[in-house]
Amino acid sequence: MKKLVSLVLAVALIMTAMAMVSVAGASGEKITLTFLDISPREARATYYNDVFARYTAEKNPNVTIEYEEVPWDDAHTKVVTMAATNDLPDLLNCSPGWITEFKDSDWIASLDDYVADSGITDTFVGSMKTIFDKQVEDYGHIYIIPDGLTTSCIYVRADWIKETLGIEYTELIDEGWTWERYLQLCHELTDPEKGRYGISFRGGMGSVDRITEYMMAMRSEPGVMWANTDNMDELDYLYNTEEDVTLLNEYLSLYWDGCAPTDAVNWAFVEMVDNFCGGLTGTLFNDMEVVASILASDLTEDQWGVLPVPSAMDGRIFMGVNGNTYSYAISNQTEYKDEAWDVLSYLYEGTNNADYCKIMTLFPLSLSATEDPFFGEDGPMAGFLYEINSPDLWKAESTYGPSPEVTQIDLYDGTAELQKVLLKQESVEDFLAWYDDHITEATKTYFEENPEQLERVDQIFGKVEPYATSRDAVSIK
Amino acid sequence: MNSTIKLRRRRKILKAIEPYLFCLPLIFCLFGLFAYPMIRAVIISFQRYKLTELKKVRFIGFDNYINSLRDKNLGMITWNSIKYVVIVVGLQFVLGFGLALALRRPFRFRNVYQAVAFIPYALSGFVCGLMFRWSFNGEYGVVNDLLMKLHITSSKIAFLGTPGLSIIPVYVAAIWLGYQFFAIMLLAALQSIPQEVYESAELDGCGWWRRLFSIIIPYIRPTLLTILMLRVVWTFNSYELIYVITEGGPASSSETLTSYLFTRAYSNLDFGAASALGLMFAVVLLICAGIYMKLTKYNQAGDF
Repeated sequence: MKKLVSLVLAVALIMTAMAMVSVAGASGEKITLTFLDISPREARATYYNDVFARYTAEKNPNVTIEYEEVPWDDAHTKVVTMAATNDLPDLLNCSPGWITEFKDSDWIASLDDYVADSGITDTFVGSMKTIFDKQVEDYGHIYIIPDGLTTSCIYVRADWIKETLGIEYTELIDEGWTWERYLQLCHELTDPEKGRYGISFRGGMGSVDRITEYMMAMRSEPGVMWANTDNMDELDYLYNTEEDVTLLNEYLSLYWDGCAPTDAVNWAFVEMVDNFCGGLTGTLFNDMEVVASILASDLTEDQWGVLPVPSAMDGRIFMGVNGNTYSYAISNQTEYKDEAWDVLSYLYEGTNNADYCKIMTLFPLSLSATEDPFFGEDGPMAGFLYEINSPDLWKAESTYGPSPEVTQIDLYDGTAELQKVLLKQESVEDFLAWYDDHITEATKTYFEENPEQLERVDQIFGKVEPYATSRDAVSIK
Repeated sequence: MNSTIKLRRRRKILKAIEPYLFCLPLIFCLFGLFAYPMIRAVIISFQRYKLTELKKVRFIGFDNYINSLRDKNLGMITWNSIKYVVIVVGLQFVLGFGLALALRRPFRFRNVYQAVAFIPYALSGFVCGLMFRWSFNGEYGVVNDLLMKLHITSSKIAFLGTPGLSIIPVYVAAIWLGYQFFAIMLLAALQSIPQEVYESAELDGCGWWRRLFSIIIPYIRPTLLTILMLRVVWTFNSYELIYVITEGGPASSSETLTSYLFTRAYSNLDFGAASALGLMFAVVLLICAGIYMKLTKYNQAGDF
């Protein structure tokens, strides 16, 4: 009898132990996973190192996670190079704009089974299901899990507005916050003698997105970018008309008229943010995450404020961003996919997602995190909450098309061509014609090489949709 | 008897192949580090080889070469490269030679001065690039501040945002970072000139210029020609300062052939086009080196 009891106890103990280490190191093997952060900053590094240490201590002592980082402006190149040399980290941040090229090359793993088996969707806000559905619709599988939800806005120097216009910056909304008013504000805030410029103008990498967003909002038919999508031979990129020439001239005048320093021809994300935080520029159009950088700068609370994205001619607000920022993906090159998934899902457990979103100024995706008053209507993010749930907010892909080639055109060759226009080496007409030729050719080539995608061509090009509806609103209490 | 013959024969064979056996590790290394990448580059240059589309790699004949030669920026970038090499190597040489001549004779604290003068050579190109990028910043840079305080300019100059000017910080950084190489090498060569030669020249009434052109330069000619050629090749192949300071911008105006090649490879991720460009540059460099060696009668210059 004693033997039987001992045997039962031993089996029970072994089973318990096995259950405890059901993921990694079932054999007791100690492994180290690597995580690559593509938008590093001190607070993020601290967060990740802390949360990974807690994971090892609380969840799985056999798994340690090494935090690695690469600056955002170099991230795409670095990650692609790592992938091509079979050297991807096990877990990584992945911009939603990269999914097409990454899944085409089999660099990131499908998360379908993990999501289905874990039931993790039930722990997320309703928006997450919409994001998952959209990925399945666009890419056939779920590849990424967003870290949080974001929206864009215009950061302004509240003190400059008060000094120059004699009004509180919030009064600009009451006056009618349109793109025309925003451009005018940039001129009004510019005062080179005081070392002040109206706008953190993006002339470097990513500048094509910004001008497309502006034209998208200001065209007589806002949002629509392509015509004849049912016939690839006649596929027509629309942003190459006289109206577009006029619009682009208006927008680029911000640079030509001196509303930005001459060096801004080279500015990308880092320079734009640094120069707003450093007190050189009066406005900055970017995502919510910049709040963290501003809070870490010398700007005091009364010196800055946030305004919504200006509205289009028809009153709608168009967003060119994907709604989620630095999403998580699991490398297809790792031999520890299960372990990587376990770590990934831990990032949404307890207050982990809320803690992260506070650092990054994002809306959390874990249901539990939404209980946190920080993200509620009385919290510091109330303005963003109002915007992200606004029925006037529309989501439209800016320029990242279905083809990886389009990403390349936008990020690199397009930037150099647009810089020539800024430096008046080329005309606006020449640039729009060049861009039209390249983006149309790349898109047609994509459909020639991927004829199966033609079946869903309307979905690919018909992406203008109400933001809140597409996200099922952000259910923050 | 037979076994003795066999042993002798074996020793003979072993002796004959011995040098080759010793060379084997080196040959393997050379093949792995030089020949294989070279062969691979040749193959890739005939392929559509984009890092983002590795599943679609295919042979496309001479398309990469043709597209590279048709590139509308190629003329400007080639001219930039020539200017970059001539200005940077020229000024590095003048400054380095001057420093070597100054340090040739012993004086008090010469070692300290020598150490200080050679410090930049120990810096990495990346650190140096960041330093000069900030120094030439249009709004906060120390260079603008100095120029305005010295009343050389009345307003700030956007060095990094102006085509034609954006390459200046790169020139300055490259010269500052590299003239010590000339100084170190030429100082060693100068110190090998026997003191008696100088003394005889002085007794014969030779002036400074006469000594420079009739004694010093002929004596150090082999070193001079070699380091000039090395430096030209290194400068032509360097891109890190351009990458850090201007990223080739604005509008590709500060690109050189090598930085442009790097951009094609690591920004556009088009390794096919980058390989084609790289091979064309290599051929041009080889031709230039051949011409240089011919013109300078390199083979008659003596030992290095």
